This record gives sequence, structure tokens and C-alpha cells, in this order.
Amino acid sequence: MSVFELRGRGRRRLAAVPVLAAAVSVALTTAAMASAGTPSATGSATANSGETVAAVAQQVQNGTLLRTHGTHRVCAHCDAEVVTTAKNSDRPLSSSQPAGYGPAGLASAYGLPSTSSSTATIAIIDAGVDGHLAADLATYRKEYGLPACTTANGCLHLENYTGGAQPAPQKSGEGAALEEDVAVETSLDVDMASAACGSCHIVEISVPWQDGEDDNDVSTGDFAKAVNTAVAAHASAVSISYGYSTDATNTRGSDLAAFQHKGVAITVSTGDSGFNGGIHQAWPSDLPTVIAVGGTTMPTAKSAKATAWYGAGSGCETDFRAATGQPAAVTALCKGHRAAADVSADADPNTGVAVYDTYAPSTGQPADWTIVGGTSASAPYIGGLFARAGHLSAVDGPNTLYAAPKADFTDVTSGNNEGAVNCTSYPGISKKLCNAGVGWDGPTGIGVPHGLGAF
Amino acid sequence: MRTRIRLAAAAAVAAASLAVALPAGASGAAAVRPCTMNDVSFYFGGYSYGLGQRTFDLTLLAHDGITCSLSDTPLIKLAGPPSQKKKIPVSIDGRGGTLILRPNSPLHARFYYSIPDAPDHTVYVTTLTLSMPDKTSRATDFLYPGNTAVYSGGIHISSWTTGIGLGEGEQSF
Repeated sequence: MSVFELRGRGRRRLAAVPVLAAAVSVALTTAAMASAGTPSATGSATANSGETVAAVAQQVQNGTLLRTHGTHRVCAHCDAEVVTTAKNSDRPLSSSQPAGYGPAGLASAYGLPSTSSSTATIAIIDAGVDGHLAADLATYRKEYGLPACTTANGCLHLENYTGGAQPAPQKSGEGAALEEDVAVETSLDVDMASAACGSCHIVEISVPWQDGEDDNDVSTGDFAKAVNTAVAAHASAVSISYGYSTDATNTRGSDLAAFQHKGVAITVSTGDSGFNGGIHQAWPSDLPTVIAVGGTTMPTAKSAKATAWYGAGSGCETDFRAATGQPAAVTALCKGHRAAADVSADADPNTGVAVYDTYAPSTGQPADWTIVGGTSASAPYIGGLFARAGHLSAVDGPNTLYAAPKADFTDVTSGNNEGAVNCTSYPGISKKLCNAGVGWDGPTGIGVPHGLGAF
Repeated sequence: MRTRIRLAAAAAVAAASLAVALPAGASGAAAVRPCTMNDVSFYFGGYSYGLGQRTFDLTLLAHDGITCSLSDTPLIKLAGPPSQKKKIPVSIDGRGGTLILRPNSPLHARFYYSIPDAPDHTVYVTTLTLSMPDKTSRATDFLYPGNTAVYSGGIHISSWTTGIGLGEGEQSF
């Protein structure tokens, strides 16, 4: 697979298709996208690193971007890694044109059908308020020929975590700085949901901005409330790209119950720190009724197949015997406990996705088009596929994924995530928790999607 | 440091008037009572000594078999020597909300302060008092017996965080 998108200004774009209720059908074939924006070796636009956008795009395609660029974690509890201008730089790589993977490249990688007609709702939960969310989403979708998704046409809804209208964005101080940082995460989430299902509706739910940095029961309680709000808003899929400490409070009672909604696919990122160990995983990815989404590196010049991303979170959660529907053969790898991840998609910043974000109330330096990785990319993408396919009635955590035919996934059989912690540090834990191989493994779960059959 | 400030006085009001709003337990578990000082222990650790800034952790542990609740900004008071006229500014991150303390779910907060650059910019801190929602409290030396010189900007305390803080002899980097 060697698809990537780069569009020079003035190139013909796919005509924007208005969102018109259930009748909408979005064509997203690779051929169509390529006709609207084939890779350009002569593109003259430059990124703020001084490189041409074409050169950056080539590095994404080759999986060599991080040879000369660094990454910056978007916020304390976000699972997004934005690519920076250089190693040891915190400045996001920015350009006037996208250079990362877009909807068509991802669709091609995962063998998705060319059309999408679902108008199911994907809920995205994020910290703080992104004052440019609607405008930035409009730019992203226009760039890739997706139908407009606005509050005016009823496609985009913005809600507070308790229901009702979102508060005004923070105007100054720490709140504004945090909301600027997190806007990259929020844009990533809605962009990936759009990439997975261009015809779906989106509800973006805001928890207080402090949840982006506080790790306690108040924060996790806010997310639990937000999930209930998403379900009340008739979401078919709910995506969370944040991780918190698992404790005795958030793994039982009302916080646990908030994640038990049969018929709603709740996808959660497994984190970007590689193998998380054999005891606890990040909350809420460890809960049995959520779909824990790991990460992969896209096929590159070096590897014709996707490989496990070294940062993809995996491990065991000893508070639970299993995820819903998780086979005994999988839980046995964790000595009879919930094993993560369940499924995966592109999360490597080296082969990162294109994100458009201009919200910069604190620094005044918008990211514009940038490149982002992390399991924050894969979780909303998988959530979007659930909403697009619409086979949700039996969904209860990852149970339907484990019950799906093997042919509905592409098994990822190489790579590992043992950068910081090794599986051998936990006696009795299988090496499969850290190393991709035939069948289920920790970093990539069952594998990456192959079509929509499993969703 | 970014400024998100809740003064101790505000926390005192919040703590004193705390109406514990517990989440409705789906399991129908018994109501969790507000923490009293007899329910908990606390200790310091994780000292870091930077050139300009110093930090340490305060960990709060529930006693065996105790599950209790408290505001996410329990009242912390700092005091200097009796002869000191200057006030010790204290800012505490937090925004209200209920934290549950269990033996297997401790909480910790991090204290930050700068070392003074001149005598005129110095305040001394001697004791730390931690109060529970029912106003029971316990005082201890601030870090160690005696006066600790602190930049007059005061002490900043992070929001309470799930998990155990660093302990005696453990250092953060």
C-alpha cells in the first residue's frame, strides 16, 4: 500500500456533498481521492520546518518522519502525539496543506467500501472547549471532499458533559493554554471520526478543561457523566482518547455503570507509552465494556505490512476477569484477566494522520495542517467504523469483534511495544502482550480492520 | 507556573460547608461518609531540590477498612513562626467535586515553592495543618522541624491526584 494524500492549491477537489439526512451517500474511493489530489513531487508549499510539504508527505509515506522530527504529547492525559518541527522541539509541524494520512489513504489501507450512507452519530468526548472546532472541521472535510458537517445542517452537535450547551472557551491563563493544547486532540478526534464515516453525524461533548490535566475521581466522574450524555444523545459510538489512573472508585459503581450500554460501541485509546504492565491499564480503556484500541504503523517502504507501533498501549487489567466476549485463550495470556488491546489502527506519528486545527487563544500560533499520531487517532477511527457499519444491536464492549470472522481483520504479525517495560518483567504474562504475532497480541489486538464486516 | 488559584480561604469555606454529593452507586453500596482526621494518615515524600524551585508530595491514605469522601481541595493551612508578620500565600488547584478515599485508592498532591532570592522576599513556613470536611485537623512540621525559607510568592499545591505519591527517600526528576 502506498497511498498518501497531498493536495496542491488549485488542484481539482471533489465537489462537496451537502448532508441531507439519511439519503446521503459519500463516495470515498481511493481512485476518486487520487484524482482530486495525487501525491505531488513538485509541490512548492513549505512547512514551518522549512521542508516542502511534498517532502514531509513522502516521509510520512516512507515512515521516516521521526528521523528528523520529534513528537510532543498534546496534554497530560491525552493519547495524541503531535509531530514537531525538529527533534527536541515542542513546536508543532505546521503547513498550509495536509501531508499526513487522510480519509482515502486510511480507507485504502483497511479495505473499506467506497460509499458510506450511515447517518448514525459518533460521540467524541474531549476536555475543554475548542473555539474553532466547527470551522476547522469544515476545512478538513472540504479538503477531503466530505460532505459539510455543521451545526446549521444538523450534522454537528456541541454539548456539555452534563447535557446542554457548552460553556464559553477560557479567555486567558491556564484554562486558555490548556484548551489550546487540547484543541489538537479534539480536532484529531473529529477528523478521524469524519475519515471513518463521512456521512455520520458527530456530537462533540466537552468535559471541564481541568480534566485534561487532573487525574482524580472528579475527572473520571466527568467522563462517566459525558458517556451517559452521549448515549442520551443517541450516539451509536462513543470515543474517548484520554487515560487516567485506575482506582477502586472508577472501576465500580456509577463510573463503571456509565460504560455499560449494550448497542453502543465505546472505543477508548490504550495509551502511547507502550506496554503498560501486567496489573493495571489506563482508565477507561481497561473497563470490560469498552473496546480498547491499540495502534499500528502503516505499511512503509521498509515494511509492506502494518506493524505494531512501539508506543501502542497494552497489558493486563487485574480488576476484571475479561472484556465482554473476550475469549479464554486471550485472557489466559493475562493469567485470566482482561487483556488489552482489542483492535487497532494507525497510531504511529511516523505514519501519522492529517489534522487541521487553528485554535490558539494562548500563543496565537495555530497548528493549521499538522500531523498527529497516538492511539487518540485509532480510537475515534474505530468508533467511526462502528457507526458507519451500523451492526450495533449485539455490541457489548468488544464482544462482536471477537466473534467476527478472521477475514474481517488483517492480522498484524510483527513489531513490539517494549520500549520502556518488557513483558518478561511480569512473570506469568505472555510475551504476546508486548509482541505482535499470529493471532491476538497486546499492541494490536485482533488486528486492523479489513472491510466493515466486523463492525 | 500557570495560574489556577483557589485560595485556602475559599477552600476553607468549601470544606466547612461541604455537602457531600456522592454518585449514585449502581451496586447500591452503602453511602460513603465524609472523612474525619481519624480515618486518614498522611505523609511527605518525593522531595526535589531544583536550583530555584522545590517540590514534594503529600500522600493521604485511608485507614484499613475505611472508605470516606472529601472535597478535592481539602483545607490546607500553612503557618510561620509566631514573630512573622508576613502572610504565606497559598494557592490550591481544584474546582470542587467529590473524591473517594479507600485503603486501596490513596490520593496525593504536590507542593511547589521557590527558594527566596533576598531576605525581603522571604517568608518562613513552620507547620502544615490538614483539615477534613468535619473540621477535624492535624498539624505537623512543614517538611522538617524548624523554619523553611520560602519565596514570598508562597506555596502552590496541585489538585489531588489518584494514586500514591512518592515516599520518603524517593525523588522526582
